[in-house]
Amino acid sequence: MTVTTMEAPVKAAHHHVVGGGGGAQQQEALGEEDPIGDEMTVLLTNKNFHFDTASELDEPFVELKEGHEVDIQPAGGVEFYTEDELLEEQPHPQVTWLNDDEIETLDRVTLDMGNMFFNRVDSQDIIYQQKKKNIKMVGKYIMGDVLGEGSYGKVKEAINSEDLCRLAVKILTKRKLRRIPNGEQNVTREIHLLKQLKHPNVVELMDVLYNDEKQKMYLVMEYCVGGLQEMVDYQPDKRMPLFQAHGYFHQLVDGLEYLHSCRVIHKDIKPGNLLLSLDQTLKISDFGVAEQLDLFAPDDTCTTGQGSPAFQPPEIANGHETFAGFKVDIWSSGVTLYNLATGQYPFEGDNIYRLLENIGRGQWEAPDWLYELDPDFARLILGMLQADPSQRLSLQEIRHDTWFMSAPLVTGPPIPIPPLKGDKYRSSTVVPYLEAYHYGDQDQEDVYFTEHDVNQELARQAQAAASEIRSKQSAAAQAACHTYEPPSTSAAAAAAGASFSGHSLGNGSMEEAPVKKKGSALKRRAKKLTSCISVRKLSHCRTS
Amino acid sequence: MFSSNINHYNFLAQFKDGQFGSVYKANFRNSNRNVVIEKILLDQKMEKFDFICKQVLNIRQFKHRNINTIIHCFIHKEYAYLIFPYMCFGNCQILLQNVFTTGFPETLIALIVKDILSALIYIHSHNFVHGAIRAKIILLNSLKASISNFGDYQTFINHGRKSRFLYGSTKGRKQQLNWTAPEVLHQSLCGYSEKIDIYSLGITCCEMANGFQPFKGTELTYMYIEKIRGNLHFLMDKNSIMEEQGSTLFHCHNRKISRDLLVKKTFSDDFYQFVELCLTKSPVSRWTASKLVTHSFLKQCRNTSISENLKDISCDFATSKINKDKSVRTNDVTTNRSCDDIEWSF
Repeated sequence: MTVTTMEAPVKAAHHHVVGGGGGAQQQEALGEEDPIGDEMTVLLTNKNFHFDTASELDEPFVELKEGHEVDIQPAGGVEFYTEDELLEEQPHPQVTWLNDDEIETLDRVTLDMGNMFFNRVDSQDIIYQQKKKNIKMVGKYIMGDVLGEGSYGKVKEAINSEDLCRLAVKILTKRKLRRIPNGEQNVTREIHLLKQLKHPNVVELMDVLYNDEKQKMYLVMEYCVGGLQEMVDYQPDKRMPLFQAHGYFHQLVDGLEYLHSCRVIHKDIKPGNLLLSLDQTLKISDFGVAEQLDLFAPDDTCTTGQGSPAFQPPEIANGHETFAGFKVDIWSSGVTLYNLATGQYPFEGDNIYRLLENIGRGQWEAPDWLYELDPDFARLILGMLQADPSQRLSLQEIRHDTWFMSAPLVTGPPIPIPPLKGDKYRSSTVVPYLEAYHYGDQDQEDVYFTEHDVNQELARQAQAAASEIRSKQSAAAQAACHTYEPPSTSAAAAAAGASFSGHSLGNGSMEEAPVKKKGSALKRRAKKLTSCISVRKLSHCRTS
Repeated sequence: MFSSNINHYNFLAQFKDGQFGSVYKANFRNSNRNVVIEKILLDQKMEKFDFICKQVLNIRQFKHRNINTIIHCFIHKEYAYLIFPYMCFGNCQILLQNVFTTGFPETLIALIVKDILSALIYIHSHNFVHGAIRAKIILLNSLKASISNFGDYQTFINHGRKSRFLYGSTKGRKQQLNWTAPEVLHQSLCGYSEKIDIYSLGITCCEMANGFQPFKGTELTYMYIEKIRGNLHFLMDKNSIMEEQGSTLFHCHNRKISRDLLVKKTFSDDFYQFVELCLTKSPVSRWTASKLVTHSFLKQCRNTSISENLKDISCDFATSKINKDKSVRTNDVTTNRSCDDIEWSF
């Protein structure tokens, strides 16, 4: 009987011992229930590393192959979309049956070993396998990597398999929605609103899919390549040049004008909700707290405000029962414009109460430096940040504002949309999945390597780094001008590598080994490991 | 010179019937000249209407031998009538389907490509990108080939400013995808330029040479990946049989093209090289239209003409063929109605 264990990646090296033990217990339990019989091949998964949720964002392939994904594999290898909710639902290691192909590949590796019963598996015999990018489809949409994550669920990139158009899919799970106050209501309203709206500056909802079985909802939206928040965050001074902010503000006003004409009040205008399409068209998104006035409402009176605190007008901060809705969006746009152009907020506070207190205190005064920057701009901001809603500018007045109508001097290159995972063009993340699907296993030959390999690599790098440091030290002694300080990231990698090797070899000496230079490369490699198959020995594995 | 009175035109035959526009062959009585009339219902959604207006305005800007421009237009009752010159051989796709089922001879391709390139040079110099080059939009008469169908055009000039790159999505361009350049399919921040027309021309060359469109019958996603990888060998002749025994492309189409036919066919090295230049993956190293005109592949155009190559075909071929195939074509139109409404092809 061949037993294989799927292990947490090296990243979660400290879980290693625990995981191995759990795996062993599971194996025994399985042996009794095993429907296949003697020639059983089991893949055990240890999901410990899933507690490291941050990793899912930057390393989407960490999503491990799950049991139901592997065995319910339809013809052609297309898997219908499943999401892992292991964090909450499956805290225990999960047992996974391999499909025939995978069993075969394993058997090829293990058949020649003769010793066909339960074995204690040494961690150094564990073979790591790179995560296969299995194609997932929701309806006619092929899913890619995760673009972002919110309280409601994830946003993933996708392409439409019928016209290859790039899309963003917002995945909402009922379970998560229930935990948000008014969650389900907000979503239904958002869908209802977005379906009516059609404007170049409003994000378009293309399709809504439901999966009752998984209690999930998929909102298929037009693809936006980035957001304004992301752009300013990437800048050291957290702001963009005035002329660029002017361009976006123009589009924001166009979009708001359309929304207000449809009796829709967005209520949550902020840089994070203003996205950009490929051709730099601004798209107002996130209608989660938006409100549509009744067709017969006499005016724009609203009663609820749920937007982000820093962008709320005084009437909401002060908790007024009712307030003029359209003017809320004007205020938020004012704060947004101020934030984009200066990198600051007109109101700040240590906590949300202080912040709201500051907002509600009274009339805001434009600082002197703002007048020095551009007096017309300062006047517009002041007009939009009038504490009294009736004094606040309307969209029509903004359109006739001097700064709005002017064309600010182009002072330099506009700030770019920051690169995503090192890709400054933000190419489609679906491509690797498609490649894996169409070209299959040819690309994936070099994905097995053992802990032994990793250790050797580590030792080699440690040696290289040590010699490098030695030479550096001698150089430093000569120059005597600065001391060597390892960068923090590579130091962390060194620590991870050291604990890893220390565990497997039972040898503490590695811990002191100064793995410094190429440590990050190894870390990257190690990060990519997601599943790890343990067999007793691998034919092509070198002996230690 | 053309009248705005509908009664001065004799409607002879209908080429295409769509929800919004129908295309007719007509005869202008005053000068006894054959024309093509596109009849468009004006009572439409605002966006659609704007689109039609813009398209008409733009096509009328162009004045070039190899661009099928609108020669006249007028409004009668609730319809707008656009008058185009009549091209007797119809479009290349019809020719490929009915006459040259195994592909055009290389000389004819060279002649067509030369005309198309000169049209593309003109369009590109006006900062426009055609965006939908394929055999279907190349019209032929006995003298010249010309391009039509400016429904997917894009311009670098927006709000009085010229941008360096164009961005766009492939949304709603289903029919064009097989000809589309990889950088358009990418839909990333690197954008694309007028070179996409060159890529489409390369695919069109293969289409005309083989008699069927590349990637026909393959999955769209596969086509996408193949284009990204850039390992494309589309021209099929004697040599390619030897090389591509196991290729998927060949298997997909071996029903269409029998082996014997392929063995008889040979394309010149120049043609191979020309297509390769057109299908260069990187838009930067892809040749421009004006550079491609100088390629030695086009030398074979010197002592021949389109009429010489098409002399066996009756001149009013297009009309008769279409009328015969009408039942098929109308089916075709109804299924593709949403995308095909304004494009008229004949």
